[in-house]
Amino acid sequence: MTSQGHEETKNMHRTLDKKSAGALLALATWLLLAGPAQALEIRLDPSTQTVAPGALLTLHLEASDLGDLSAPSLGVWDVDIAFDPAVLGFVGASFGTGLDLFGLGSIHDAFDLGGVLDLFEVSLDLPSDLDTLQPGAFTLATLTFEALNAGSTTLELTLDDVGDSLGNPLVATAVGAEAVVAVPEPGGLALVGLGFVGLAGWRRRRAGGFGVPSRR
Amino acid sequence: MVDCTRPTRLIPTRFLSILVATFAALTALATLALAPSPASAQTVTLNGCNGPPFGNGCSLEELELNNGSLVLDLPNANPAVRVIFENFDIGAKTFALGTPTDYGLIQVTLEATATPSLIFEDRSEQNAGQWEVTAAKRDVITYQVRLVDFDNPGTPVAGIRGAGLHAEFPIVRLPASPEPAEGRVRDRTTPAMIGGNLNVFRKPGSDTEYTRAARTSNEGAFPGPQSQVQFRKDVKLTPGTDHGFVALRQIRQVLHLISDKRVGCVPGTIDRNGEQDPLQVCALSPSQGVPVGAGPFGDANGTVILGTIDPSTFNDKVFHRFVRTGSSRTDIPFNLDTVVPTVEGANYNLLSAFDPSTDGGLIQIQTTHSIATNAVVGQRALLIDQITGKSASLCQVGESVALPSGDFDIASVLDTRVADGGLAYVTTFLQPPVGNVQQAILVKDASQAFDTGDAPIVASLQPGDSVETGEGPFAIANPNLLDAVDATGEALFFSSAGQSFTAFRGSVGDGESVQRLVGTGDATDAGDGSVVTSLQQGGGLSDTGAVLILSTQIVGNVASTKTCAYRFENPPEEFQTVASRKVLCVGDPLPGSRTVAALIGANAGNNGGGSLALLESDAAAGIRSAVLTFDSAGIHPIAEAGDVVTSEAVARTITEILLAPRTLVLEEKQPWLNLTNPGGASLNIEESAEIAVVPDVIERDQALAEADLAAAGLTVGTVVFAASDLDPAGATIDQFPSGGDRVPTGSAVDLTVSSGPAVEGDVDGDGDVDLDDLNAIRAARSNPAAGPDDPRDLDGDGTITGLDLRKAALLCTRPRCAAE
Repeated sequence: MTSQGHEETKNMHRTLDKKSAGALLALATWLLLAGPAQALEIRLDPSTQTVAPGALLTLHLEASDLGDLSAPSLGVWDVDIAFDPAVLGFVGASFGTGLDLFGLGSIHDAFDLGGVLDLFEVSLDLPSDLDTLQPGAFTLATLTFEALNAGSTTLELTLDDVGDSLGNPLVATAVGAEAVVAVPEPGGLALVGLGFVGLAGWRRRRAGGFGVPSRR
Repeated sequence: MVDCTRPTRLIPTRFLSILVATFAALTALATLALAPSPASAQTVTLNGCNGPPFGNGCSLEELELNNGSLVLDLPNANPAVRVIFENFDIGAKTFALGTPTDYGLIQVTLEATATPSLIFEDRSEQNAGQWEVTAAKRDVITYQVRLVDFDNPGTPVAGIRGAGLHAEFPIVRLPASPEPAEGRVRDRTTPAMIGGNLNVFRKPGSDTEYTRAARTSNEGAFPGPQSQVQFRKDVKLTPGTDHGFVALRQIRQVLHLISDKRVGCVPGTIDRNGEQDPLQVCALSPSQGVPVGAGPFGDANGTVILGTIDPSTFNDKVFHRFVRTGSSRTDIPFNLDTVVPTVEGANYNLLSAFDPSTDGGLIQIQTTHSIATNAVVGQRALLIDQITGKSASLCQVGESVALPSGDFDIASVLDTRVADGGLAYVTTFLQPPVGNVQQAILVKDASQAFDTGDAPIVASLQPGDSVETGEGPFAIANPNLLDAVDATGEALFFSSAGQSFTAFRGSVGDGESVQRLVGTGDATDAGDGSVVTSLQQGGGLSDTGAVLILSTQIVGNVASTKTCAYRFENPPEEFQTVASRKVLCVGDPLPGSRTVAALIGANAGNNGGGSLALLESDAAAGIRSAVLTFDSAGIHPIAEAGDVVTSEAVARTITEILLAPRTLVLEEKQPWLNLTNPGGASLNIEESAEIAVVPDVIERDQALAEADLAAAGLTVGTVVFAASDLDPAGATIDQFPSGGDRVPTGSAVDLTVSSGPAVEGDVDGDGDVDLDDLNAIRAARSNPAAGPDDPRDLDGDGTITGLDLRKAALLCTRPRCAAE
């Protein structure tokens, strides 16, 4: 190899070193900083909703940012949802199929501890099935509350344990929700009533020959 | 040659160093943020250890009540640390915590870091895996566990308190055969005698809590904590050496004080709450037995107390008072909380029914003898404070104790009898070289005013003393007090010289006369020429202060004997002419088709009259036994064979009443309780006729064990599984009641079956991992683990979580964790 060749090689190495180092540094920074942002997220959906007293309120406990048909999958979760029992009353919970892929059953519980809802589910499916068949986002449970009294309450979501298919802990973030229980305003009702009155008059008018001439 | 077209192969070398440095810095920062403060010496406090009896630390009961756990607090650690140890298991060994003592089986010092973890150091000279101990305390294996600071590993942490923690001991079992040449403590057996000792214990209904045996050494005073030695499985007992007293401790209960056959230690008390040291109650001389169990000793109301124990709960006791009203008998069951009216009109909480003096009386007697010399080495009276509660205080002979109605001098506590006031004592002193010296001390007499400070009435006679009988002086050959002091406070005694006996009554102080009652050779009132040939001890008192004496007669010239019981009125009457003094003779008819078959002895009288025991001959039922009382109105049964004594769980029938001259003792034959009185005085209450002997099914396959139980007329109770590295799966490794025990037919026998070696995730110990195990974890979710070995804490993070549940699900031995 000639000296020129050596020099070209060195320059090439230097150039590539700089480029690659910069790229890899950016990659490392992204891994360190952006990595956690892609961790499993468990949230209550919708984040806000307003219902009238006596109405039922439905919330979905959603999991996302899991491996889509790949690891990591979710094998166990245990959360608490704190709410104002004066505003909402827990009615029931139905668990999703993400941890019970074949509908053969999982171990789950939902306890209303008086303002704190304790929910958990453990899959009895095999780790390989969870890792290959579980979608990246799915509904963990659907919760039903009854709006008891006017007011608002946050539904604070706390993750007690979240584990993968092998029972090892997963890093996860929790996003809660807010519910408002409000009585509809009287003005709005009056407008609706007026609308009905107008509609009724219009129908009467049509029926009484105001709009269509008689053939007789 | 370098391929310049693939330069990226060169880049990682440099860049990885950057990454490594970055991560190293981050790791260091995280470590600094999370690392605890440097370890330093901390004060350690043992919680749940508040005092005696075993040194200055945890008592056995305290530990037991604390679930056998040792709690270490390191409040100065950063953060403060609490570590809980349970069961004190070091592999196959168990140990106790204690400061160096001369009585403990084990010495333990804690070694740990400030973190802390424990390092157990076996400092014994013997193999740490072998715990065979041969009796003497010098042979005791010593374990030490020290608490150390890793920064100063050679320096034990100071401030350890709580000496005297005692270990859980495995089940001990003794051979069933009596008095073997050499015994070995094993688990679960019926009581047996080993070198004069008896030892059995068992925790019912549980395979995890063990019962322990405590034994006193034959050195030093008894009782006392210094003389207690803990047993464990396979302790070898050597006759001649290990003949100390054996006391048995049940978890949360103190059950048995076992007798020493050679000296006739009468078993002690059974305390409901396990609060009483069983070693405290023991009277050893065959002739000085303290009633145990309960007996037809009359209390101050003329009642009989029978004690029973509920075998199902093991700790509920029901006592029965047979109250005589005229010729009728009323069975009044009561328990230890029953308020019993006394003759003095005050209400007392009954603390114990094992001594007549506590039921309306005031004192329990405790006497200990040296095994080697038979000398009295400890005497004390347990004063039952029935007014202020159930507390008891100890007093020694000679101490003045505060009684509810005044102060009374306890002259002796060697023996007790209930006189008319319920408070007379007859004492016997072993006083070499004189020999036995007896005194009668009338502490209080219901018929007399007796104030604080009054001197006790004492009758004391020595061989060679001369007493004035009104018929001239009488030389005392060998004085023996009869078992009573009459209502006037006069001592009853007889003198024996060879085969000649003479009974007297009267105070025998200086210059006082005594009343001659009867003597051998006196003619009886039968008019057939029969004479009294012997007198037997066993006097009783009637309401008039009469004494009951049993005599053997020769009827005419016929070479046969006849035993009669007499009583002597006060004031005295001529023996030969008063027929009414005769109470009963063998052969006399009894109501129904019964006749008196034998007169065995007489009990100390009660307020309503004397009591008498006899064997009845019933044409239909054969020989039966009974205890009677008598007064001027006639004879009234108190308890007799065939009476049913009912406890909450089991009805028992009095099948036999054995009587001794001095003391009548009811003895219960419980599967776990075998109290004996080698002195010969006992009254047995045995279970009803429907008794089954529990087969020993240990090491039998579960199915075969259950078949054995069914064949024996028993049922299978609770079956629990436990992991065992030694026993094959399916083998029975424990049972209760134990083999050889006698239980009512149809009783349930609990079994513990081996599930084989421990399986990870097998929480319930049944040898598999299934939904049952998962549900056990599920039920404990979010709770702290019971310890580092908690099988529910599969990830070992100290908390039982859903993660543990998932890990357990992965260990299931059947698809989807299906349970069998």
